[in-house]
Amino acid sequence: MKKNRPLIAAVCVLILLCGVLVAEAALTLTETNDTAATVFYSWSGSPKTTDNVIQTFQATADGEITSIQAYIEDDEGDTGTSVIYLYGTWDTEIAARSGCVGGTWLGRFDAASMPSEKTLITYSPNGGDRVVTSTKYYCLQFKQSGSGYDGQQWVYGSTSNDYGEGMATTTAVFENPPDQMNGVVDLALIINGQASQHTDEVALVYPVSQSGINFDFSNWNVSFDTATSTTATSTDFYTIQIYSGATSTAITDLSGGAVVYQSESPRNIENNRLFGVNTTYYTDLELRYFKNIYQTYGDLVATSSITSFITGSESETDLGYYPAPTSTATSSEWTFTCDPESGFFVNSLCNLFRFLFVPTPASIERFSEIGDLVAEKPPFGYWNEIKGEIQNISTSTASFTLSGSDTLSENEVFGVIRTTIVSILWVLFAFWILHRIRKFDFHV
Amino acid sequence: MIITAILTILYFALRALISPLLLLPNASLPPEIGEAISSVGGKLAAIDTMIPVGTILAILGSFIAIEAAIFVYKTIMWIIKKIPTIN
Repeated sequence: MKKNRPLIAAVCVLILLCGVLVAEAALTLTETNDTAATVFYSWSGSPKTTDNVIQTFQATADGEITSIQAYIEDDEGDTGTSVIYLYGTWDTEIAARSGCVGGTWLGRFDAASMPSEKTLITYSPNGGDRVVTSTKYYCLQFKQSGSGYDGQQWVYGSTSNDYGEGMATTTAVFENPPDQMNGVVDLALIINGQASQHTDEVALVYPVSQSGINFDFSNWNVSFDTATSTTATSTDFYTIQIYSGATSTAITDLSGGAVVYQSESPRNIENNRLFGVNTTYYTDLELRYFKNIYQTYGDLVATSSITSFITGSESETDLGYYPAPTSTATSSEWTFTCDPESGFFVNSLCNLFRFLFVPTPASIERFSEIGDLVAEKPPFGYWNEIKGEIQNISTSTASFTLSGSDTLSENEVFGVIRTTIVSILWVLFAFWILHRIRKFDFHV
Repeated sequence: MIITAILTILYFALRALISPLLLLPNASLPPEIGEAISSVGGKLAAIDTMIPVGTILAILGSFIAIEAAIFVYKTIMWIIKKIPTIN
């Protein structure tokens, strides 16, 4: 047994090291992946040449239109110019596609040349701010002129505004776009007049802890099972899937309980669905992996606990225009799931192993509580304070200047000497390690 | 289940271990120490153009880490020696 003492000691050191690493991972688990995620509203489909692009809104309070913005994208770099007209005021809601007919022309907002890439253009009202009246209805009309639109001088589009309440921003939704290749492929009109804080966020969690699983993440999507109440029954939940390749997808009926599935694949976070404005949604998220393009629903890889996100009053355009949402939650919220289609035996075995060996997120997360408790207590508190002070050394500014040091750092020969000194120091250190190991008595 | 149980035991063991620490007041360094460290930092930054201070500090840190590991090893060996059946 005495001979085995070094081995036992080495194993103990290894276990301690593993313990430190696990504890470190547990302590930092809730601190990683803490980037805000955003869900934007957008229309579905890909409108091409547009026709009578009109958007209506109702003012809910007196205010001023300080600017009108438009996200515009032209598919082939046309050189036309665009103009937005503001019409008002009506006492009743303007019917979809009735246009701005009958309204009073209130202002014209000239734009620059059409951008070849999606660009946010801000239009300042001509002649000062436009005052809007409470409860009145207004209408915005987008027109475009120039070359490159199959010979058309004015290009029109037809829109309806499904989420147009309030004076804040709304999204124009194109319907039945003509099947032409040239013209506007994306457009949203945004009215800035009252403060509209962009608060729409959703917690998406990438399963960083599952990097060892054989998923390449080239074909995957995130599904939202959402409801407007945490107490909703299962029929109140519905599925919204973010996917690519959409061409003529209808807007999801947010009030219903219908499950919406789409078969386009590969899927990823590039396209979009419409969410209600200023609404809190509760969702549990699913990550699904698609082995090939023929899989409709994919394999469920992981699910999150129920989380929530609030859509803001500001409408945005195509989700694909923005970076893919990243996490606001922790990877510990994900749990492994077994594929029920893998057969009774495999599925049962999977569930058994999952039950036995996969720890609950709560059992891991509470270790961070211990770290927080002792972080400021002696002796850890002293260590943390000294560590913070030492880290400041790297950002310290020199308290004095050595004569000639400015020119010395630019000297090429001195650079070589300095590199040599660094190399010599590391070599000496390596020799010291070898000497220390050679002379070390493992049977101490 | 198994891992969860182990983690739960480990958690309560750690919690019991640190409970005396929680009675202590929060640690705070005397301001002189912070000033001394920043003063040293300023001087090191001044001579960094001539002497590779970053390399020296990295080697010093590695040296301390290795010596600390050796110390832990010797401590564990000392504890093992105290176990009658092994010694």
